[in-house]
Amino acid sequence: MTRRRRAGYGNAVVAVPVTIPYVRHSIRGAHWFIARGLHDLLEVSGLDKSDLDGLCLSSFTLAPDTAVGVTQHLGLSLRWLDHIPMGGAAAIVALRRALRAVESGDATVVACVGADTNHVDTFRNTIGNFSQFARDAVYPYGSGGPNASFAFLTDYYMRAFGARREDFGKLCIAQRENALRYPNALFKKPLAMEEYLNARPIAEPLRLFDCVMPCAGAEAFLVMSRARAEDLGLPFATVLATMERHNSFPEDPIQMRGGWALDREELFAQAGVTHRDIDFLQTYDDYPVISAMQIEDLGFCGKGEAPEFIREHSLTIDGTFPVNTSGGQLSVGQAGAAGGFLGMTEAIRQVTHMAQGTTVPDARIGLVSGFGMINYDRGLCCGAAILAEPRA
Amino acid sequence: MTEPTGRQRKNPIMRTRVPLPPAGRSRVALALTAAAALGRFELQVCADCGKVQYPPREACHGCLSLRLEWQPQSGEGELISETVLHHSHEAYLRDHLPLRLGMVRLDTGPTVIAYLHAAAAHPPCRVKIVAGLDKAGQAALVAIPGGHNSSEGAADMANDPQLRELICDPCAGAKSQGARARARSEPMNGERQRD
Repeated sequence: MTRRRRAGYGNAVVAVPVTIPYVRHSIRGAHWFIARGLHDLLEVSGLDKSDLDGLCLSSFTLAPDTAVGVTQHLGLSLRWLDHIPMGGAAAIVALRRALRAVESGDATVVACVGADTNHVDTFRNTIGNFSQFARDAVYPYGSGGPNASFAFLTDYYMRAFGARREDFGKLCIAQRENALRYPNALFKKPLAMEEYLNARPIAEPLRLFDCVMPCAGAEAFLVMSRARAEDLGLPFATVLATMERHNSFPEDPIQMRGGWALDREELFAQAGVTHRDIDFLQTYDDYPVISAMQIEDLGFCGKGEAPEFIREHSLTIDGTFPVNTSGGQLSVGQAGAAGGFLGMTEAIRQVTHMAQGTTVPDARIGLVSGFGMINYDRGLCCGAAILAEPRA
Repeated sequence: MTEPTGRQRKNPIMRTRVPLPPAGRSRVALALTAAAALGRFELQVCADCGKVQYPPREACHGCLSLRLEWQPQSGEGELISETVLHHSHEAYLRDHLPLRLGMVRLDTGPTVIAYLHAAAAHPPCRVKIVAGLDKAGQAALVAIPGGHNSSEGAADMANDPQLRELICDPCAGAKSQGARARARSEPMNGERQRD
């Protein structure tokens, strides 16, 4: 039996990419960053608060609240509400849910928001109680958090595929160059290879510049009908295809591939484009090894070939394969769940020609990839979306 | 003969801070600690499909059976990945950095994250998982070099100064190696079933 071909997203579009500038630490609560994100969405779009009838929220630091509490906290009366605890895959999944809601008429304007605060002890609390498996079987062993988890993956990947520290370094340095052109990046100095290679060790083989820096901030965008966006005079992007997968390849002894490998053919088929049509790639990049895995599993090269791919390409905004054009989380910062939204807002800016300093020349089609939730020994959530400049 | 660890004695005038390793565990994971307290490494085995699983779960992730039994494990497996941790989020563990950790694929299937003994080779290599208790009184799994017989696990742990500080061997008080080996291999009251 063949599966029914998935419907496209003809009528629903994505618009108004908003970034609330990141700060290393904040005394504000997560609600404050959500409020600022919503405020800017309304201000830029010209919509009234009462026009908003859907909200899709992601945050790690909202407890004891969920999206439900936020409706009352911020005085939102909605008819469609979703809370997506999927970390780095949250923006992709939020986009998927919101597009269907708008397309079906369950909601007319959906705000998708990823926002988190970062108090001095927030990160420790988040990772110490990240999941039942993490609390039972990972965190007690050295309490290294995601650094340790990604160190295992990096160590294995380097041995299995002959990746060198210099390969990961090239990616990190390219992203830093991109970040120097992005006003909201927390890292504002160029990164040299020497500095990258000799940085202090965090969890071998990872050193300082392999690891994201936790911070506070928010990213947000709106999903609405094409007609509504045109009425409001808003630049918008169309969504050609999306995918999500959870707990793919559970029998692999260690994670060397993600759900993208299962869905990339359908993703590109649904989008009606090939890899050559992709003008830029936004990966989920909390550590460079996972960017390498996304480049492979999304089909830009074969499994284990990302190191060679990185050596062959220039990865900056004006390079042969622009990756993480805003600098990515590694150079902008990881504002909790907003980290999963960073690539999405940047991709919307690129294909709507609002990217300013980070503009990839003639960018029309971009791929955004998401990866999230190291529940135990591997990330469970994978997602991807192909965004395009609207055809007239 | 074990070597002194060389840690500095505290200034007796200073206030004593006693941080502990993270002690929170789910209820279902406490059985791992109960077995470790007897010097045994046990995992959940599905009574219906025979699947061995870790971390501890409420149901078999192979067939969703609820009939899970804790059974002694050989702990044999392959070290597939390692890291040396230079940064920790917990005060207690920060005092013990750097820490060597390993990811081990047990021969029975599950992947285990454990402290990695200093004498273990770099991956890939054979190792063996043994269970001790950490300072919080919770189970702590250690990967020791492979090819050893189980009764030597405790001695091995004591030979790694780092692990000697971190993990206690609950059977160290047993009178002889023989008694220790028996404690490790014999269930206390015939068939043990929890839940």
